[in-house]
Parts: sequence; C-alpha cells; structure tokens
Amino acid sequence: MGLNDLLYLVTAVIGLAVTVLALICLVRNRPIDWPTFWAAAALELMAVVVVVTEIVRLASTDLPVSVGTVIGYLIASVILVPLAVFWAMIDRTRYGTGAIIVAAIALMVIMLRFHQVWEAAGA
Amino acid sequence: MPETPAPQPTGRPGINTGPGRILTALYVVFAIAATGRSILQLVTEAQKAPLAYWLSAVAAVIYVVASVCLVIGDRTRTVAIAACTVELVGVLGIGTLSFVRPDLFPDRTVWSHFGQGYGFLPLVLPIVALVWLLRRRRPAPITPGAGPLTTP
Repeated sequence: MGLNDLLYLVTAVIGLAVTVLALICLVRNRPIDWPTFWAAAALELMAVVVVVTEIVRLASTDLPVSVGTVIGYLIASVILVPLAVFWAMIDRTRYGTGAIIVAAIALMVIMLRFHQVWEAAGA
Repeated sequence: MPETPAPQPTGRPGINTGPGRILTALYVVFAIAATGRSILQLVTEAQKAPLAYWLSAVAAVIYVVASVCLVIGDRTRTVAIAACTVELVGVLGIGTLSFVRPDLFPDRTVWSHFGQGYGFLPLVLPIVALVWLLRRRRPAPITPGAGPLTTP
C-alpha cells in the first residue's frame, strides 16, 4: 500500500471516529461535545494533508488520471467539515450534530473515490 | 462553543431546523456532487453520452435549487416542494428509462438506475424531503368567500 492509500485510509478511519462520536451525541440528544469537535478538527487537518499530497501527486504523474474529478473532490473534501461544524454550532440540537455525520460520511466516500480514480488510471 | 447548553426550541420549527437540518446537509452534499460531476462531464466528454450528461446537469440545477431553498427556510418552502417533486419524477423517469433503453446511458448519471451509484439516496432523498416539507404545512390563509365553508 502506497503512502497515498495510507493517507486515504487514515482519513477514512478518523471520519469513522467522527461519525461514531457524533452519533453518540445524536443518540444522547446533545449538541456536539469537545471530543467530537476535536475529532472533526483532526479530520479537517487530514483532509488538508490529503489535498496537499494529491496536488503533488497530480503535478508529478504521467498517468491518465481524471484531473477534473480529483480537483472537484479536493475542493469538496476541504469545505465539507468546516461547513458542517459551523452548522452544528448554529443549531445546537442533536440535528446540528447530524450535519457532522453527513459530512464525515461524505468525506469517507471521497477517500474511497480518490482510491478508485487513481486505480482506474493504473496507479 | 460546544459546552454551552442547547437552547430550547421556541414555536413551530422551520423547514431547515431539527431533522430538516440533516436533510439540508444531505442536499448540500448532493448539490456539490451533482454540480461538480455534470460540469466536468459536459466540459470534458460531452459527446460521449449527451443525453445522460445534460440530464445530470438538470439534476444538478434542481439539487442546487432545493438546497438553497432549504437553507433559506420557510419563505422558499413552496419552491423546495416543487424542486423535490421534479426530482422524484426525474429519478423515477430516468431510473426506468435507464433500464428500458440502456443504450441512451453509456455512462452513469445521478438518476440512472434509480441512483444506484449513489447508494439509492437520489431516490430516497426526494421522498423523505417531500414528507418532511408537506408535514410542515403552513396554516392556510383565510380568504373570505373562497369556498363553501366560509360564512357569508
């Protein structure tokens, strides 16, 4: 497994952790707590790391990868979590927490798609 | 910040509060995904599957309209209902068409095969959204002389 795949995996695992923590808040009918907040912050940090490595990878590859697709996912992967956290803070109910779950799952799907896009290009 | 207690809801909640917030978040994600995909497909390979790609673009516009309406809230509820209805008709129509005439869809779209590529969420979302939006019905304005129930 290459470095990039490892980064996708780590990001997805943190995404899963955020999902579980937020789900606990949701089930307990609470707004997001600090553990969820910091887990979401870690997820965003990993998303930024992935974005940087993807840009480097795109700039240095000869593979026929779908550049537009990757760029689209890059943009989505950095904006989703801050948007969701912002929203969870405005609506301090269990449903604001639900927005974080949506973003975390979407980010996990994006990591899977990164893997698939590069695999399709022959990486 | 996260440790302050949640405010108690006051009055009737709007369409983008409570569970509607999760729905709105899902719509925003779909609006981003569908818009990105259709722009990319139309710019890079429009000739490959013109019908499918233009339908993707239409789907994207509808997701964006529905998302914006949900974010704005109650004032745009009617537009949101219209957008979700078009969406439901779209996913059912295109979903069926993609099985009947697969030759028209050489590449997948958001709506083909009832949204299979997106975990069938494109089929589930408009149904959930419509149920949610219609349950939040505003009390009908009283218009004098509008029907048999109004006293003269």
